[in-house]
Amino acid sequence: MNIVLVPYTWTRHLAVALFTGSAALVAWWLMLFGTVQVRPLIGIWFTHGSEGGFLLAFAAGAIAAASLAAESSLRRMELLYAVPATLAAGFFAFLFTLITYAILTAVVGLITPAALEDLATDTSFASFRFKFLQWGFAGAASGIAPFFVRVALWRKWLIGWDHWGGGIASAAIGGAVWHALAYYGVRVPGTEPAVWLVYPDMYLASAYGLFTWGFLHGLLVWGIPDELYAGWFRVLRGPRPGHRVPIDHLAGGPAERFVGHFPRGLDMNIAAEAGVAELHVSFVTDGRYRYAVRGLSQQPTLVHRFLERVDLRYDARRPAPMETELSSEDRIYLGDKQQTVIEFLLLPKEES
Amino acid sequence: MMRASMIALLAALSGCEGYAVGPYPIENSTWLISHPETSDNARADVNVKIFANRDDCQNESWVDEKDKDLCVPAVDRGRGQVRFSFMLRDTKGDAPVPLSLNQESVDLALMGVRAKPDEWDLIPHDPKGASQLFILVLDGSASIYSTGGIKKVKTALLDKQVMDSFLPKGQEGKHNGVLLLRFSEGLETIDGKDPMTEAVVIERQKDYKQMIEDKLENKGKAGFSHVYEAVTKSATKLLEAEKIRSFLAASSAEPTIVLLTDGFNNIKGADVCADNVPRLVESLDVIQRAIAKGGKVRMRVFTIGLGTALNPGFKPPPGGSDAISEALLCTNDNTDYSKQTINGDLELQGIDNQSLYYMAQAGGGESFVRRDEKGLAEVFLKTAAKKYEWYTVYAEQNPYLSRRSFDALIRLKGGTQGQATVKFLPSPWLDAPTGTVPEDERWFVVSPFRMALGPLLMMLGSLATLRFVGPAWFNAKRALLRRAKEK
Repeated sequence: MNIVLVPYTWTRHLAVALFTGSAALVAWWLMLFGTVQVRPLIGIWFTHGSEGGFLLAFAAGAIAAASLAAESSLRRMELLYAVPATLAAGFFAFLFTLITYAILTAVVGLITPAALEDLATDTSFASFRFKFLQWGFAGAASGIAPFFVRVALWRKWLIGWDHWGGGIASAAIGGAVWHALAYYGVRVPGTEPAVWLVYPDMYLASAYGLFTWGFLHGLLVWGIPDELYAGWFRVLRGPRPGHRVPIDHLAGGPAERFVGHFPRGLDMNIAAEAGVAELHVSFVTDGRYRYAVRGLSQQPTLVHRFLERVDLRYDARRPAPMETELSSEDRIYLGDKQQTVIEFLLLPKEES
Repeated sequence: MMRASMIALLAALSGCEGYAVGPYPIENSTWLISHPETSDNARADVNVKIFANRDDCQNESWVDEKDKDLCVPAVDRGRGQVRFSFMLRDTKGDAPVPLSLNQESVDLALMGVRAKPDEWDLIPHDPKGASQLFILVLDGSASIYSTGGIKKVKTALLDKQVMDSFLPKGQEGKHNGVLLLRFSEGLETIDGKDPMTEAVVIERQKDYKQMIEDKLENKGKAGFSHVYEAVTKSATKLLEAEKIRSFLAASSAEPTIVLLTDGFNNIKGADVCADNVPRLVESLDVIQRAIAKGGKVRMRVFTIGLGTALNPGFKPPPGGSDAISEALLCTNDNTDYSKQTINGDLELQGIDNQSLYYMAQAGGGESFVRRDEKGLAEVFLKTAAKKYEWYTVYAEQNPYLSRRSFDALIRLKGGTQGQATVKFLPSPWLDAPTGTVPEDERWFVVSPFRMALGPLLMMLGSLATLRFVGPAWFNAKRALLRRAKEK
């Protein structure tokens, strides 16, 4: 993954999800390939009863590894750290899933009432009801493993709920999708003979189930953090069109950038003829990737965003200048005829 | 880290199994199939051998190379269809036993539930080209002439299809023969000769037709119907007669005895039904010994009743011929006729279909009761039906039931007994690509695994495309609406 190809729009939330979903799909296909093609060739394979454990473990490992791989590539981490981190996340997720699967299978066998023993001990019996815990723990493994690897990498304690809860939720929903599509499908209501949107079939249901797990894992567990983007303002209309200035300091922390026609010391100088006052507006960041614009002049200053207009003209009766929080692509109109337009942009830090 | 690796390795190793002795992987699927269990029933006439894997099929040289794929088990969970093949083997020598099977002579049960005829199919393979000697043993008692039954028999025997199946024309490697006999108190050829010394095996349709047209309606020696004796004699002494033996040896033919009667076995006028019980048991013993003596040359006995069955609702109890008793042989709907006279009484009420059933069962054939020419012709065709080396079973059940392992039981019924069970073990997690059903066909064809690449590539392609939709949309929008300009 490349942060340059992930603009700061709502679609960035899907980028990691698509990546981890793809990893889960590849895990599904490889497991299927192994079971269908390799197994008869080599004459040895996982026991029938542990097949599910290995499938979940491979999927959990692939998803956890993909999550770390996505992060390390987005952060442009050195391979020396990126590769071990990815492998460690995958390995621990794999291992944790396998161990919990074995324990749960044994426990389920022990606590099952005699009336259901026939089903519980049938290694071919496919039911989400009997496999819910296995899916849940595999999901937990796919969240916990990246969590600890990230803690080790960044040497700081993260909020675990994203990882733990997200992992469990994504796998549980994936398991439900697997079960529902395998046995019920999606039928167009009122059609006889049935017209299926999704034919009830274990073949693609297992693919959809694992993909759902991977996709939701990418959505819920680790999203692209704002720290990978930096705020810029850019002249959209007026003198010096296209000229742009970063708001953040390279070292991070709070920063303020000024726009006006004062000839010295300002971050962006725009001629007075373009309706810009000596000290017209400033762009500020609190160092925590939140940005705002302040109106420093009595000259007209209007922020345009979807269905919203904010007048930032300085009011002498107020103790402090007006300011408003900025979102990417907000536009600031300066001058009585709105001769100058400046836009605020969040761009990947690679471009800083 | 090291310890964790060791645990993972141990877990992985302990979770593996080999497939040398079953269960075996089913090709192009994620399912397994257990090692088949053949019936250990001592009364089984044949061993039903289910092919559980490709090695089983490869080991059978007579399975054509082009049919090898049909021979191996296959599944299509999407449709709830399964396929497996089987053959029959001798219980003693393990030699193949080709038989003529159809859905009526085989029971299939999936998950313990007997499959309905429209839920499964039996497809025969490799018809066996062995020659046959048909020994037609026809009732010569007075009743068959007085009721016009003999005319029905004549019409059926002269049916073109029947003649073609008894004495096929132009079939290489086949050398069939027909021996036409009549019985009452004794056994004779239909032209009145002693079959032990003067029997003539008819080998040409022309001779067969002429013999039937000229001689069949001629009455033989009058007397009682020695039904049991007619069969036992045909199965023993007749086969050892010089002319018959030399025909069987010269043409490597297998004898098929077809007994046709319209009444009861009775030896003297005072015979009652109960008298037949020990006679039948003894006759069955003779037939079974004759079959065992035959070894690889398998004789079969078919029995046909012409008329109405005295006990049409007869259902043989388990236990085979050991279960034969007065109560079984001489009771019908709680009516005990064990002490009723056969001559002029029971024989007028119907045919002793129970005796016919047990003789056919002992002789590895089937028993029928028919009333008209058409029915008789169909039965004659069945007696001459082709025998096949192996069979493929296609079966269908609700796909929902494939959520768990299930047994498939194949059981031969009728003349030849035998059964085998195999367990299907579906994967509870994954499945290979769903099979396809060719147009105008009912049963699936396995989809190759490469089909699974399609969905994978399509889904990955879609995801990759989606991945670029965001940036592309963002850039396109900015190129159109957010161009920097001077004014």
